[in-house]
Parts: sequence; C-alpha cells; structure tokens
Amino acid sequence: MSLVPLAALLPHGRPDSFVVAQCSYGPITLAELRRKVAQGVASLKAIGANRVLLATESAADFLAALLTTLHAGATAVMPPNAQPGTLARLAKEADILLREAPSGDVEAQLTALDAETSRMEFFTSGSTGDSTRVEKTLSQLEREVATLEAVWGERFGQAQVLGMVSHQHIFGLTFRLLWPVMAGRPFAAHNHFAWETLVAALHGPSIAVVSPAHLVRLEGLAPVAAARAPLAIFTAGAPVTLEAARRCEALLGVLPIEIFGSTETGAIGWRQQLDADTPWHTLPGTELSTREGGLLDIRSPNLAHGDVLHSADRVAMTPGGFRFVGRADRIVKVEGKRVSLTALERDLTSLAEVTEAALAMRDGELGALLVLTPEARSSLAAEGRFRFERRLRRALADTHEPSALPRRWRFLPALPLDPMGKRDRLALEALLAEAAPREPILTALRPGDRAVELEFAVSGSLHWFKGHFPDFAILPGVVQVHWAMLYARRFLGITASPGRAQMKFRRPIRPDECLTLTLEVQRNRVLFTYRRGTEICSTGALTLPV
Amino acid sequence: MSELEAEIKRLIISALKLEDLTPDDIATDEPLFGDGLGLDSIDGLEMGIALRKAYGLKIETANEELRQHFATVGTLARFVAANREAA
Repeated sequence: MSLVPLAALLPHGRPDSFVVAQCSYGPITLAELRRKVAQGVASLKAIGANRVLLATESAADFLAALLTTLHAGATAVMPPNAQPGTLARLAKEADILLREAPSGDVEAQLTALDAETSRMEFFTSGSTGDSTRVEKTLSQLEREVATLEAVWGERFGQAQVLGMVSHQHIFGLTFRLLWPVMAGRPFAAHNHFAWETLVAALHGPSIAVVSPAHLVRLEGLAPVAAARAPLAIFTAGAPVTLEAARRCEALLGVLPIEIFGSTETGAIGWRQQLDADTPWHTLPGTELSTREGGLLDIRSPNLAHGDVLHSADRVAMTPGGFRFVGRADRIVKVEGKRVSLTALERDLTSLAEVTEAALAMRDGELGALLVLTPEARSSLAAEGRFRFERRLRRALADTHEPSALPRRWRFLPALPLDPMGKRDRLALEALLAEAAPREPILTALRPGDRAVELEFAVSGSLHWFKGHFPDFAILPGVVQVHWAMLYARRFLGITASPGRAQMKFRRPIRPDECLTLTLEVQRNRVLFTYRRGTEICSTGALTLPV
Repeated sequence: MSELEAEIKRLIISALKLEDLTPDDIATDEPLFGDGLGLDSIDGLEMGIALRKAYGLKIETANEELRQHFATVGTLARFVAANREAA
C-alpha cells in the first residue's frame, strides 16, 4: 500500500471503510474519523481558535484532535507531559484544551491541508533548564515518515501497530500514529503498560513500539511462539543494554530496532545491537558531521528546509554512521525521557522542605541528594524515608512525570564540595551508590604548612552509626583514628602505616553533625583534633615508624 | 493478613528497595499506585518482574483487567493465587 500524506488523508486518502485504529470499543474507520473531525472543525472555527492544546488518553482521539486542529487552520500544541500543572500553564497561551476526540457526527467535505503551513509545537528540555519550544510543520513529519517507510515499510504489509509509549511525545506520535496511518496500518489506540497485555494482543502480523524502560524489564516473561512474534520492535529515548536486546530476541523473537533522534530532529539514526559496540546507522537523507569537541551537527529533511541543528550530543563518526559518546550539557535520559538536571534541581530547591539539592546519575538511575530544613528532618524521622520521598515526588508531580523523577534519595547534613568549593560530582555519585557510606561528606579543605584542616559532615546513614548503642548512635573512636590516617595519607602525603595511635575523648560525635578535623605533622607523629564548632570532640596522635 | 498477602508485601518491599518499610506499613486495601502508596509505572514494571520470578506467572490478559489486579495487595494476592504455577 502506498504512503498517503496526512494532509490528504481525510479528503481523498483512503476508502471510507479503511480501519484507522482499534479502540477499546472497536475499530474506527476513516469515514467515522472524518465525521468527528468535521464536527470538531466547525466548533473550533466557531470560537476562532488559533492555538489548540492536545492531551488525550487515546491515540485515536489524539489523531482526531490533531486533524481537527490542523483542518481548522490552528496550531497544535503538544504539552511535554499531561500533568495537571503543565496543562494549566500551557492552557494559558492556548484557546482551548482538547482532551478527547470531537464527539459530533457531521458529514462534510474537507479539503487537503497545506503541509507546509500546518504547524505543531512541541516542548523539550533545554540546556538552560527551561523547556524549549520546538516548532514543526506537518511536511517535516511527513518527510520523516517517508524515510521510515522507505527503509522498513516493504516487509510490514498491513501489520497492526501496538504501543507502550505515549503518543504525546515525538517518538510515539511518529511511530505509533503518523507512520501507521500514512502507510495504511491500523494502530492500537490504547497503550500497554505491561508486557503481559501487549503479548496478549499479538494477533496476526504486528509491530511494537516500546520504551527502553519496558525493554530492560522483560525478565521472567514466557517466550512468545515464533508464529506470533512481532515483525519488529522499535524503541527510542535511551540506550538499551546488550543484555536487554538479547533477552528481547530470545523472548519476543526479534532484536529491537533502536532509533536515535530528538524532538527537534525526529529519527536520524538506527541500530540493532549485535555486540556492545554496534554503531548507529544514519538514516537516508540525513547528513551528519561533527564540529569542535566532537559535537554532532545534523542536516536532515526532518528539519525545516536548509536548517542545521547543532546538537549537544558528543559522537565519534564511523563509516555510514556514528557512535554516541555522551551529552555536552546537563541533560540526562531517565527511563527514556529527557530531563534537565538544572531545571529539576531548581524545582527541588524550591520545595519548602529542601534547603539544598543536587542530582546525579548512578547505574542508570537518577538520584537526588538533599539537605533538609530542621522541620523537614523531623517529618522525615516521623514519616519514614519511603513515605517522605513519595511526598516530595508528589509535590513535583504537578509538572514532572513520575517516571522521570529521582529513584534514589539521600538526605544529607551537607552536600560534598571539592577542594575548589564546587559540587563534587564523583562524591555525589558515590553517595548514591551506597545506602550506608563509610566516609564522611567533605565540604571544605584548607591546606597549611605540613597541616590540613577539613570540614565535613557525618550523615546519619553512615555505616559506622549502625550497631553501636542503637538508642544513642555515636561515631566509634576506631573510625576517628581510621579517618585521621586516611586523610593524612590523602592530603599530607603520608605513606607509612602508623605503628600506634593514642586518643582522648571529650564529647561524642553524633549523626548528622558538621565537624572540623585538623591534621598536623610533628616529627614522626600526626596530631589530630576533631571539633564541633569551637568544642573539641577528641584529640589524638598517630605515631609513624621512624 | 493472609500468608500470601504478607509475602507479596515483602516482595514489593524488596523488589522496589523500600528499605525502611515493613509489611505492616502497607495496608492490604491501600491503593498501590497514585495517591495510596504512591508507586508509579516503573515500579509497576519492577513488580511485574518480581511476581513473574516468584510465582512463575505466565499470563496474557487485557489492559484493564491487569490494572484491576494490580490495584492493591489484596487484589494482587487473589490474582496470584488464581494464576501461580502449580508447585
């Protein structure tokens, strides 16, 4: 079946009986879609809508709402997520919010759209932390679909398209909705949340469009019989591990096709991982090059005519493609969603409970490290960590999608700073790795003459606070000696192991206190003093072998 | 609380690393998602893996039904009891 531009779909694209989508209540045909759109166009024109915000649960409703908007000559605005706060903010600059398909049933002729002037607006996380508006014409999306169909379409026939990603984002919109509808393949209006339900829907030739979050969580699924295996599984948004790709092949019969792209560029590359180092192939029509620093420049028919997109993706070019190296800004991918660390840190810091916030990635998971107000510390103790965390997550849920929020949370007496006084990224990551760290959080370092002064905080979660006097946790003396030696090695260049340690206690060191440690070399001894403010906690000496 | 309900609570706690919760902190009829315990879609996927591994669940079902089965620990326990692999 040949490709029909979306611009021509309703006027004369396909027979009236053509099944556009499978909804929970049954199939929706082109004739039914046209009647809904005709009603919707009349309503939008009646209120003179110029900008229409689209947020629907069903992809079929979305298609109807999108076509209604474009046929009414208005701009379609795609919110970055459907959280209430996000919709309320964007609704202010739109004339109407459409949450479902127009319900009417009007017979009317519609004329073909001008794809060059039919406009859509997307939002994505920008490097400054503010969300960035990305404008696209329908013709850009139609050109992208033409490329996809030329590469893969031939072997798909009229397979149904099933989804596990939102149609509100560019990847889902293009792969679950626009490509199928233009190529004459019915798409499933409702997303699947679990593999069990997607597998149950594999009747006849199928294509699955899934998130990396789903792909890395296939474990334990019963293998699907070869006859029911999907023709292809597409995914995009974040790297899929080689292990997950292989498990997908073993259980679902095909290696996933990973798509490389962004809201701005659409799909520009693809790969199927055969080994851990499989490079990305550039899609036909797109031209890639690198500028200074190995940053990727993109020329593509998916962009407005003649545009070059200077991305913040660091790559290494290969024949016919590239390898992804990393991002040059503070944008990370969390469960396939683009998250600006700058914006999220700002939003965390603005919570009443939080005085300081830092974010870092560890083992592919986003973690938040927070310093709380004294009141919030009491709530944390009263509510318990989990419920307190979820309360913070809910406070952010007005504008952030839950799955793109931090999974690991650390509540600390202070954030680690490097000797230059900047956030210590490696220390932050280390704090996320271990629930019960063994070292304190360094916040300042003042070198002297054969001496050094350290400021640090002892988090209540320290390994050393566990076990000793459960009702009155204190930092054991042996740990204080160990730290004195550790930092004498690290900051004073001591290489020998101490032969003997002496120590006097004045005041116990308790969880979540901020302290100073001074270390001073005197002949063959390292003298150390732990202080809290001006009060001495302990003093001691490490004797080095002569 | 039935033994299976208690077991599922322990499974949720370990699969989602909710270290500071105990089975008694989760009410059997408390909604797991949204305003109750506050789990999200990623937590749901992690629970799916844990349940498949623990009970050998080999099920295919429709979206809406699965949502209802995952509503609370109580509904989940009934679902597991009806679908678990014979020991």
